[in-house]
Amino acid sequence: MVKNRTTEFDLLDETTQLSAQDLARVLNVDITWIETLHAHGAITETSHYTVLTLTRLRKARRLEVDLGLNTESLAVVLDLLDQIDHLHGELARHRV
Amino acid sequence: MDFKDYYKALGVDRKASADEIKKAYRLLARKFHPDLNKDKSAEARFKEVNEANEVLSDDEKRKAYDELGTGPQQGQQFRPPPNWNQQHDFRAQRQNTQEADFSDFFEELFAARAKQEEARQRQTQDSHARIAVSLRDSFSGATRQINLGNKTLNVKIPRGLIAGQVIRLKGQGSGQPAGDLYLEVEFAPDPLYRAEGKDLFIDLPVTPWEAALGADVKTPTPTGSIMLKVPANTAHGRELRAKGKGIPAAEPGDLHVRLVIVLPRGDTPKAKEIYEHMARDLAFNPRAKMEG
Repeated sequence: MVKNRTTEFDLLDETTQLSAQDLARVLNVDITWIETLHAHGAITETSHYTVLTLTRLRKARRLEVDLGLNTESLAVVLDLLDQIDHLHGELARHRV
Repeated sequence: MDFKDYYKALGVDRKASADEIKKAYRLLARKFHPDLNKDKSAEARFKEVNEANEVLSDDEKRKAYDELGTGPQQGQQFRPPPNWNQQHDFRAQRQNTQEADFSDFFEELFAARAKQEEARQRQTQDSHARIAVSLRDSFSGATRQINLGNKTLNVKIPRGLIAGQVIRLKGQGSGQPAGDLYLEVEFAPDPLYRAEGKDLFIDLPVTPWEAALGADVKTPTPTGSIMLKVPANTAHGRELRAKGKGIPAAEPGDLHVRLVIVLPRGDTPKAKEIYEHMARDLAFNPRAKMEG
């Protein structure tokens, strides 16, 4: 069914501050999951989070559920994916 | 609707054990997961694999699927046998995280009843999806339709949107009362521009004489052409910056223009003559530093 009216929205950008409770609710995870990822270095913030952390944790959750990765390996995988993204950017910048 | 051969999707035999199915799924998921493989075809393949696993890793669903028999082939028009649905009850929640990405075949056979049941039972829950927007949408603002399997929504793309931001649609998640839907924004690849945050990058071809002598060169931007001043003696690969011509965020990004010097071919008598002239008259050795 197509709704003809446009759905009401908010834009979450880099200035939006999220609490650990917000993240846990949005990601449907227990707050201890977020703390564990922090302990393993997958995220650096401890109290006020940005939308970048939300998307990072969401990616972590996808990798955990879809690929069966454990929390210890998530931090490593996220860091490696960041490095690959960075290198792709560099490559695009220097290709002629 | 089209029949889906889930065994084929996972590349396993119909007699495969639960362990073999799990193993096949893990291998294929690792190969095609959209977070690990950015290829567009990989995403489609991952959806197939994920959907197949959703059914074949669940004893009840696999049994029901097996009852459809070996007759129907992948992609064939298909309708489940009468009473098939009444015999099976799929109340188990879906395990996967790629919501609303399954085929009509899955939705019809395995999800419809489970969803109704879930909606009654489940608490308010936020949902997630990704939305690919074009750079041009970010410049002008736009309304895009997104298909979430059971519903289609008109989503407003605000001007100045950048990749990594999230659009929250109130009341479009699941449960009762419905949670919110979070749409992660990513840019669809653009033939001209590459985005990094709110900055845009473009390669601009220039002639050797424009680079050597300096010139005003017409440069495309997403909102129309601008004239860019190329200074004399510009080296290949030099980057010029058009301030504020990037994505129109609250504080607009810049457009980074990388100059790429393109040589004319030397295959006409005139071109040959000019190159020979240069060879004779210019004391230029690009390999000077390599020679001891």
